[in-house]
Amino acid sequence: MPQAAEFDLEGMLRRCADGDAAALRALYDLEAARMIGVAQRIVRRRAVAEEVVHDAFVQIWRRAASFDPARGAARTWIYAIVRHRAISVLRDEKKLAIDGDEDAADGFAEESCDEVMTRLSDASSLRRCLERLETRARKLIVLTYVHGLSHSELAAREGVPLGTVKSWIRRGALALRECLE
Amino acid sequence: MNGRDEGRDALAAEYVLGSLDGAELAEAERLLAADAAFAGAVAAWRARLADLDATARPEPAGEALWNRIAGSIAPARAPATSAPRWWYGLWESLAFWRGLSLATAAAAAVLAVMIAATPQRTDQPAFVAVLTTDTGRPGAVMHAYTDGRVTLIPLEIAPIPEGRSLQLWSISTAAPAPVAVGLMDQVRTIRLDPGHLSPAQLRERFAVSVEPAGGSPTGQPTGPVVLQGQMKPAD
Repeated sequence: MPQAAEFDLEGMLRRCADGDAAALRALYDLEAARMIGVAQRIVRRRAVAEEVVHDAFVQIWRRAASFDPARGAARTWIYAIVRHRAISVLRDEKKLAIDGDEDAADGFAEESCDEVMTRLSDASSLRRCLERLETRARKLIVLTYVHGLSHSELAAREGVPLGTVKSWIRRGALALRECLE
Repeated sequence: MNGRDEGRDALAAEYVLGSLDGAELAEAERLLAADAAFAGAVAAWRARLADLDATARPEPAGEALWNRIAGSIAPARAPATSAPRWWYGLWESLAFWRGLSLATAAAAAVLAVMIAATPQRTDQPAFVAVLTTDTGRPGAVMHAYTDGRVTLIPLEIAPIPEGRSLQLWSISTAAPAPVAVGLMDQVRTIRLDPGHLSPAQLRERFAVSVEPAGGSPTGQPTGPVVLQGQMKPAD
């Protein structure tokens, strides 16, 4: 019941804005597990993912009053906070040249684009539209979103110039937008 | 869209994908704060790609992480005086009940709840309550005896998370807010304060919530309610 769940999330955010800590707890019970999963795909290490989710909940608590259902779904708002925090942590670590030690990655295995695609709901129009993209554009868009890879990392992995990666992503994004409209 | 708008929309897409760094990231963040059209483009891209969040595998979210979050927001927590308002809202909220996802486990132990120093045994309880879980399943049976003894017999009850206590509350029209009547630090023993309970309260509603070890710091329920039920006269 996605609609009912969305309604519940909006109510929880409203109650958080009123200072009701029990609503944040209810949100934790409902979404924290998935939030850790989203964060871990980006920062790799479980302990860091928990830090990200900790910070995200503190932000949700402080910023709940600024959530406006007219500007987007509650779930989208919540996950934007988690992903933003995770990507910031990842970028900061790279800037400080902190070694993303593989041993510390808790056996985390990066997912392939195909794996992610199979877990998208059959009813998802995003899935339908991603399937219509060129393979390389689909791969770049999906892997960028779920793993937080930067343009330069993608260029190194794909063995192509930075500008090529950028133009593939931009063309793919344009085609995706048209398909979804 | 003209060329400039296309460029802006592509920047919004890249920002949401998370692929920007350096000067482009700084530019996107500046626009997000200053330009409503750009903020709208970012919101639209978030909505378009949101289904990808649901493809992440859930990872266990434990009490330790919650306790740290609760500690971080504690200075902003509403004072205890506001508790009854949210408490009654909570009571009505299906979302809240549905959100309680503590793993349940059958507990064989019988919780003996003593509220009287002089246990004059009478074999027939005067009042009985079936406390149900958030899914409406019987979680425990409470018996109140005429001599003031109360027993709580768990049928299906969540194990108490580490560092937490289960607290029993009386919810009665005779009191403006829930009254703490007992604490379980282990799934075995509980002590009630008989001074808090009038005969009228004994006949009304009870609930069990998860609280920090030693009980709610505010004197009002702060954690999820895992069981609740209404006392009724025994046959």
